[in-house]
Amino acid sequence: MQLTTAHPRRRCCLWLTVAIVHILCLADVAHAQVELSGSIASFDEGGGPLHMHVLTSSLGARVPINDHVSVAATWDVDVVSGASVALVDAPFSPDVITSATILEDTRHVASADAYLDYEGIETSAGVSIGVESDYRSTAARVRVASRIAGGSAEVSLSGAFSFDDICDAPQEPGTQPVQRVSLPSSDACFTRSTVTRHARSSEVNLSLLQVVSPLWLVHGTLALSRIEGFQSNPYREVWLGPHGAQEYHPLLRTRGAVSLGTRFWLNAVASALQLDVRLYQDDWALRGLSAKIALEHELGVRLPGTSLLLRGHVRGHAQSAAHFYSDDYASRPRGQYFTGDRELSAMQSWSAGARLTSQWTEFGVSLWLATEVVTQRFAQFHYGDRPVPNDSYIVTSIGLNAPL
Amino acid sequence: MTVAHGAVFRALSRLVLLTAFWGASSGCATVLPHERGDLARPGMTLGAGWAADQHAVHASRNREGAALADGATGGGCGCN
Repeated sequence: MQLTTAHPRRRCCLWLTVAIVHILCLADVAHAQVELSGSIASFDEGGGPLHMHVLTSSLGARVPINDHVSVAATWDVDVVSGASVALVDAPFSPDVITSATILEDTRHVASADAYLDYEGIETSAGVSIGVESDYRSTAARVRVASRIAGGSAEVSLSGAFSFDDICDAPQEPGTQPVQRVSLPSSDACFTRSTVTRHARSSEVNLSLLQVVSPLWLVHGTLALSRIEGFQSNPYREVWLGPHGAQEYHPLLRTRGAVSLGTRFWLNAVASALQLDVRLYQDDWALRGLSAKIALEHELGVRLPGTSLLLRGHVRGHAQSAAHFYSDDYASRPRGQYFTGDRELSAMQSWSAGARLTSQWTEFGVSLWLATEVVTQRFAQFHYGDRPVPNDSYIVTSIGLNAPL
Repeated sequence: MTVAHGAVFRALSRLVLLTAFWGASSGCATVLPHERGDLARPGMTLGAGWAADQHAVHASRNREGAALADGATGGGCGCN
């Protein structure tokens, strides 16, 4: 996160504008119908001095080139404003919450994907470039899916790879972890004279969907991920006793998750019942369990030419702490690593959400409005002697899909 | 994670494995194309609400340690 006013990413915007215009020109040549999508979302996390707000806008276009091939481009912008605790676990006054550092940042992510659907096999490949003042990321992904067993099942395999650069400007090369200081601002980032850290991640997903009956299907996914490189927040320091130091995470993390879900159509109430369970484990000893239940109800035609869908869901999540997590490194250190990341502590969260979708079938237009409220509980994490004040947030979004 | 959570985790792990085995073994089930009308409804289609749900999913990925990047950019730094 940048601690000063964000600079506009003109080059990124120009690059994406050129890509979208190019796609629209392709569509004109092919006399194809362009599918446009756009959305705006607000993330609002309370917490007094630690209030955080993120406004996200997304714009995309997908163009069929012929009967089998289509291409798409999207552009996402996150505008972040809020405050962050720079030194976690500090025992002295003034307290770390009321003296939190104000931050502002803007993040741009441009993506381009190509799709091939031929003989029952769907193939896609894409790239994304993310740019912000202190972080740069380049990602690539591929996916292959095939319908099998006479169309009663589908198996898919996907992979994603990313290469990230993280600003760590204030460090001198070769500085020991306990002597490193936090990044004060992003002003000097990515210049030749400053330190830039790197991280590489790779991920593989294997999914299977099985139709069990005309009203019932099950699906499961196995996901494996490996991140190698700098995985700390460069802005955050942890109090170690005599002094604070930039948090220091292991440089390798291997993660795995298994998820299983089912969909069941309930004719009597014109609704789809959705159940999902997910198990997670990584080699930082963090284990997680999530469960979600949702009901999507078809309200039918309420206005001529339109149909309405209403969906509600609740979700629960619990996780253990990473093996090197401690809420007091001064008196209870956990080896050579130290973190001030509350997401690596034992935590639980509960969420409830609703989504209303309206479809104008005659024009192929759909409009949706969604909201979700999340509350979290941190049993171990605290700011000095203060509990976490920013433990709940609400996400609200509105979006439109329409042909051009 | 407490002892109680650990027991729940182990029990649900076995449940997921058993259900996955059951789901795979039901691969012989064949539903004819004309019987799939209800399976094509929006609530029965995986990923149908992805565009609407992506923002909440993105937020939970940044607020939970037990989340994968799912191909998204910015997977390494805890500040994103």
